[in-house]
Amino acid sequence: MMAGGFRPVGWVAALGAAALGCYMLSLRVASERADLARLDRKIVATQQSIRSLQTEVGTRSRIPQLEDWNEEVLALAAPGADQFVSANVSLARFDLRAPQPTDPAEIRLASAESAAPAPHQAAPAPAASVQRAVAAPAPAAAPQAQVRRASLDVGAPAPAPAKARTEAPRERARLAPAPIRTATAPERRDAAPVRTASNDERRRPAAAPASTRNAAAPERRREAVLVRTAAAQPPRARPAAALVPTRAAATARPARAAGARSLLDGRTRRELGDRARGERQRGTRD
Amino acid sequence: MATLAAHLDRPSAPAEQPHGLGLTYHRLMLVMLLFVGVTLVIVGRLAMLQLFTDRGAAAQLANPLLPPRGDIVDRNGVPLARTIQAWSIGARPREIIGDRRDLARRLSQLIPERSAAQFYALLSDRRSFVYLTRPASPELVTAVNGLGEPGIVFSREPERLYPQTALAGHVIGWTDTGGRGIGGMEKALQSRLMDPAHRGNPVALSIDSRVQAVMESELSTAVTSMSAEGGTGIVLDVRTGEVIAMASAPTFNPNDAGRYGRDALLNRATVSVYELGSTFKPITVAAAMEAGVITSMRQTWDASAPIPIGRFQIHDDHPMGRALTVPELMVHSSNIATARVADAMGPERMQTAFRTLGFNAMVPIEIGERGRTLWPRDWGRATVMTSGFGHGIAVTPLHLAIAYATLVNGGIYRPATLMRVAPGQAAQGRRVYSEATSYRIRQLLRLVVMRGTGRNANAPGFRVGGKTGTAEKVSNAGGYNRSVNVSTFAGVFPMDAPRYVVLVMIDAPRGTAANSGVTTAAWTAAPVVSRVISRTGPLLGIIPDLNRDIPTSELMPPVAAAAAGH
Repeated sequence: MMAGGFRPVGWVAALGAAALGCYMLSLRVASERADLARLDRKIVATQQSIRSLQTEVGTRSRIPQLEDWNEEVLALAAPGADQFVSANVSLARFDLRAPQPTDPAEIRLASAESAAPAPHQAAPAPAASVQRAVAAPAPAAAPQAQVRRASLDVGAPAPAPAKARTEAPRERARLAPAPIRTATAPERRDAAPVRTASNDERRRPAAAPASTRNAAAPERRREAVLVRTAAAQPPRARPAAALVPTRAAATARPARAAGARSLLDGRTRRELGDRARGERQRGTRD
Repeated sequence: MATLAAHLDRPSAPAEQPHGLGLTYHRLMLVMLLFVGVTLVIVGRLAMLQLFTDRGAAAQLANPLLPPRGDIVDRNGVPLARTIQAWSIGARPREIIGDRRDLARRLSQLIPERSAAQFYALLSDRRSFVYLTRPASPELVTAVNGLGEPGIVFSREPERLYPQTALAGHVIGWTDTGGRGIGGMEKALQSRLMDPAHRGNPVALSIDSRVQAVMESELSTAVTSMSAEGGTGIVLDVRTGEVIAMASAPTFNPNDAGRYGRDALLNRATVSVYELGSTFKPITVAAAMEAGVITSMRQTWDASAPIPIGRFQIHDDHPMGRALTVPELMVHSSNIATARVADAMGPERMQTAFRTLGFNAMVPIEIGERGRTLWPRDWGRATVMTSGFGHGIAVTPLHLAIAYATLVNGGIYRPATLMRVAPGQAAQGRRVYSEATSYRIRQLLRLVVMRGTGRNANAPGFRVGGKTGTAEKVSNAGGYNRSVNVSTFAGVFPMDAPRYVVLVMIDAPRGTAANSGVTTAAWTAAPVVSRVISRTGPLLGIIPDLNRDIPTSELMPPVAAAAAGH
């Protein structure tokens, strides 16, 4: 009877609990939805601010404005037709890095030979020394030695005298005292090389090392390394540079007197001429 | 019966006490069930509301990301026109509690466009709401808010903004304060831009804003330095008819279009019609080749003496005094020889030649600002001859650009469009010239730039071809004014595989240092074309190549002979 009496109450309680549960659930769902809506609104607000910021940035960096700045400050210009490279081969022309000892020899061999045209055009005195110089190593030395030496010509005119200077101790040791004497003589200091320079400044650096090479032929390899270290220094760091061409010319002079004609036969000369011509057509690096 | 029953029941009433209690319980139960039922109904209704209400639709109706008016972007997606929420400052004059004179004075300090007296008049207005200024910058809103007057109200309103300012103003057009398109594409696309289904996606125009900027800057430099009345420049894709750039000088800023006069608002590329002079010669030559009047490049046309036509004569600027071949005709731009070609064509065929290029109708393009061409009424012999070299018939510069695209693209006429064309979706077009004629014209146009009057238009590596055209302007008094020119250069590049027509027209240039005192097209319009091509070629994907060109050597012998005899 008691149980029967409380059953309805139990029902009511159950129903109330169910209703409450439903209500709680609904409340929970509603709050989740509200959170979602808040997030949506935040997303929308963010997107709107992104849009307005994009508009602002776009307006401030408008093309007419950029062009004004370019005219006033940057002065950039459109690239010309020659600044576009269509193939790898034409790209190689722009290789401006410092020459490395491990570089292949061909290119520098060619520029070393650029000394050769001298006989045809330059004044007779330096021309002869050049011929002699280039011809002398030809039978004896390995090809890469020539090559390395020539790399100096490529860099700048100044390194060439420097090279000669670094070689000086060794040369002095082995050479006859005569060159040293001429080097110290003040009149001689600006004799031959100056003339060569005025004839053709491109040929001058080639002539100087060539003559020294003549003197130091057996030690060519080591000397080449020395030469490169000297060339790596800035040209202004060497105060004695002015003296060097003089001595180089001085050493060249006896060489020419001795046996330029005998050492440079017609075939070698022709070969040199051909190479030089080919090089000129290709366009030299300096 | 009932009384009897009542009577009978009475003694047993106390015995039924428990029964009465049960009845009460039942009633209580009923009431409780009623409450529970009502609660359940409410809960159910809430649940239904919760479950079946379509929030998506409501959210979509007021999608805050959907702009009130669609954006306009260029072909690469750079915004050209946008709608932003701008501040506006208004006032409710009746709700102002401070001193109106003092408030008006301080307002005029912050907003110098109006005087204190004007503000006072506004603040004393009888209306319930007046605008003080719109649109207002956020800084100004902050400053005015700092006045602390509750009668001043701020609101946000949609405002059309053209971020690139004056760039392509004539193409885009502008809107009024109510947001209606007034000119250009804003007007042409009005319904598309306001359509709720589409306005969420920006409309892409065919304009390339970088090319447009280059064209506008070079054109305005030329127009200013040559003290010209105006000018126009067009870059047109010959394969699709897309207008990559369309500039008209002087320009205007669509953000504040109301400030500009009619001259600045005028789109000279599509509205103004001009007699475009010698630029018509390739059209005449191509038509004559199609008609079989010109059969060979070695065929000669007499240009030894001026042709008298009525009161005046057709003469050459650089008389050669002999018969000319067609390449020579183009290179030396001989009016006499062209007149003879046109004469041989006759009025019908010349009219057909111009009609097929649409010279008798308004230019086919979306924008509404289009001018009527001046089509000769009477096609007498004089008209036929002069029309051959672009006099007596006046068309818009865009007409000519379309004609040049047709000449060089293999002979297919396509209307111009300002809407971006998806790859492969170009208009079908119709054939006007044969491939062979088109190729020959390309050679001839290249020859003009390499050896003829168009040398100044050359841009190294871009294989430019084209034709100069210097027309004398019709003076107000009637008749031609020899000293006032309309100088046009219609160029195409690269000639070995034509992609773009670049047309520049300078209206009434004066002889200044910029053109060495010469107002012909070779010294005014051609250098602009050259600069525009060298600056925009790489942007348009044309890489300059000095080792490539259209072969013209087969046309060289006649010209070389001419040069020797010259």
